[in-house]
Amino acid sequence: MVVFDDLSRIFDLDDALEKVGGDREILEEILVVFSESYPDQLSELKKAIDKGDAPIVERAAHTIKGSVGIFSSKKALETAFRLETMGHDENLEDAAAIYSKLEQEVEELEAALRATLSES
Amino acid sequence: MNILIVEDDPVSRRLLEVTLRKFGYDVVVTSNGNEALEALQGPSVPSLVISDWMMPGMDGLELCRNIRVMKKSSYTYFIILTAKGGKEDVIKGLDAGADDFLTKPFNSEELKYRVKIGERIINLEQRILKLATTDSLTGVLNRRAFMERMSEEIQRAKREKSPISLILMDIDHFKKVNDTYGHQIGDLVLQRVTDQLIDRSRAYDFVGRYGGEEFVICVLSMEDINPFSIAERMRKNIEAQTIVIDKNNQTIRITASFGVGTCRPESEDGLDDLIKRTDKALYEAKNSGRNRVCLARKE
Repeated sequence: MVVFDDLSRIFDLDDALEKVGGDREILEEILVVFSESYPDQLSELKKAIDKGDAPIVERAAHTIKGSVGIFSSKKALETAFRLETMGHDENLEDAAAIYSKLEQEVEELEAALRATLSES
Repeated sequence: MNILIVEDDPVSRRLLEVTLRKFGYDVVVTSNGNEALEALQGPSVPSLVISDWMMPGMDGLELCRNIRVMKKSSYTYFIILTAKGGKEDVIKGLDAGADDFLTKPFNSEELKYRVKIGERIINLEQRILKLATTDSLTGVLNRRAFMERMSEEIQRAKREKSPISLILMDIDHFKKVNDTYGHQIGDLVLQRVTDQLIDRSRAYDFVGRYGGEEFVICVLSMEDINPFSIAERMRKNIEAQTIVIDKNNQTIRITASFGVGTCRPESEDGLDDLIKRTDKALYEAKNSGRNRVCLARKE
């Protein structure tokens, strides 16, 4: 089990709640969709990096950026944006390493969201 | 209002869906451009589209351009979603025909007001369209709107190999009504006569005001009934109608003359030829004693 010393470093609950008009149920509902969809999105990104397909890297990273942005996860958003930019610039040199970082951050985010939204 | 969502990311898609439903909108959800175009062909067409920009296959820009070239009876308001710090150029989006853009991740309040702006514009457009196509006195189509629709229907009838008919009607001695009772009563007569025309036409036929006291009716597909008998029913109803013109229950009665012309699918006649022939038939009805229906010669 992962223990979080400071969840706010992973995502900003207040900011995420503000974006959905304070409706916690909406966050809970889209978390379900997020949990279902992020593994596929990550694996699409990974495959594109392995194949050196920059346009797909750009688009897949862009999609993940959109998802994690909804939950106000600054860390994961920045990492996804780095990969999106690399795809756009067609420079995938460090992409594999950054991908590992993103994968970890997205998994952390999901666990943190679950822990936070399931309490109460 | 019906809103169409086009978003490939399931998370953003669901967020849009639940948020818009919470605001009370009907939502159609699609995950790519082709699905979206299909949804816009359906019977209850959404009037507002919220589309992601970057999508596999057809992107938001292309979708917007495709919608703009579609022949639609009403406007589609298009909001395109861009990402914060993204590579999309907002100007490019507006250039493709988008009306507004929203940056992801968006705030639900902002979404709400952007959609409200769109709704306001859609409603304005519908009101203007109604004003521009309706005859204000009688509420039927004005001449220009009738002619536009009629020429579309002639094209369609030819494609579908079915006949289409035009009824031209003119109120008898209308000038006398105006001269004797004044223009307000003249207007009232026009309204009462319109009621009869609408009442006697079928759901898929349509009525227009051609000019002063002249009206036109388009009669579509005549498998079950012929246009002559429709005109004859209208004539009889107008003749039988008593119009109350003042508080003392003074009434007047009027009659009308009709010309009926048909355009058969094999004919090369266009709208102008059909009007010309039908007008001659109306002239004949007037000349041979009024209060009657005359058929136009065949093309």
